[in-house]
Amino acid sequence: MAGALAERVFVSKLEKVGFTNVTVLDRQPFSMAAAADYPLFTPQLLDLMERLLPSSARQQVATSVTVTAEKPV
Amino acid sequence: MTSQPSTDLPVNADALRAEVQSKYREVATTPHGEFHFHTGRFLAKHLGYDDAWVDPLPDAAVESFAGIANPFASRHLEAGEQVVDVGSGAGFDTFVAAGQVGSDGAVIGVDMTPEMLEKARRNVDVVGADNVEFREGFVEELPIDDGWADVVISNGVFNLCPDKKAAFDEVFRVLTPGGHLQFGDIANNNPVPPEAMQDIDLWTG
Repeated sequence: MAGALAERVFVSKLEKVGFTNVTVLDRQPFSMAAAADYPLFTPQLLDLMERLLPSSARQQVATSVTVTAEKPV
Repeated sequence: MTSQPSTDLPVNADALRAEVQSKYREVATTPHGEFHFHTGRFLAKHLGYDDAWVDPLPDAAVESFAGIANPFASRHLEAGEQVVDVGSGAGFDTFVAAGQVGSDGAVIGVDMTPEMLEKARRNVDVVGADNVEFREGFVEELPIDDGWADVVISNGVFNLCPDKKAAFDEVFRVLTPGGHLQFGDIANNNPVPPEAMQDIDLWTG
C-alpha cells in the first residue's frame, strides 16, 4: 500500500511518459472496514492505520480506480 | 531471474519483489486457504466482471484471482487485438482478454512469480486457449517487442512496482502508436510518510 500513488500523481506520471487522454473512469472509495477485503490491506496494516489516521480519514482510506490512457499515433 | 533496478528508489527493489512473490505464491498454490481478502469467483463478481466472460472459465483459471478492480469495465477488447497482461498472476484477466479478442487476437501474460506462471501455463490447456502465452518477466523489463501490443491491461500491479517511471516507460514502449493502456489499481487517499515508503511490509500489505 505504501507504493500506491495519489490519483493526480498516477495521471501526472503517465502523461510525463507520453500517454495522452489519461482518464480515471471509475472510482470506488473504501473505508478501513472495506479495505480488509483487499490483498494489500493486512490486519497488521489496518491496525497501524487505525493508530495513525484520525477517525475522519478512516472512512475513505483508499480508492480503487480504473484508468485508461492512449499512446499517441 | 534478476534485473538492475534504479538505485534511486524509496525501497530495495529486489527485497520488495521477493516479498511480493512470497505473498502471491501462497495464493497460487493454496487458493482456498485462509486469506484476509476475497479471491476467485466471489471477488470477480464483487468487482463487476461480466458473468458471460467468467462463467465459462474453469475453476482452476479463476480461483487464484486476487485483483482489485476490473480493467475491462472501461472498454471491452476488440476481436483480433494483441494484448499484454502485465502482472498476469495465474491468468484470470489473461483468459478473459483471450475470450474477448478471439482466435484472431493474441494475449501474452507476463509475471515474475514462478508458481503463478506454472499455474497459468497449466490453465492454458485447461481453458483450451490457443491464443494465450505466458512469459516470465518484470513490469520494468517486459519481454515483449517494441510496439507489439494494441492494448496493455493490468490489475493491482503498479502499486507494487518500486520504479513507476520505468514501469510506465515499458508499457509505453510495447504499445503500438494509438494503442490503449487500461488498468485497475489502488490510489492512495492519504500521504505516505517517507519512512513508510522504506518499509517493505507496508508495500505488500
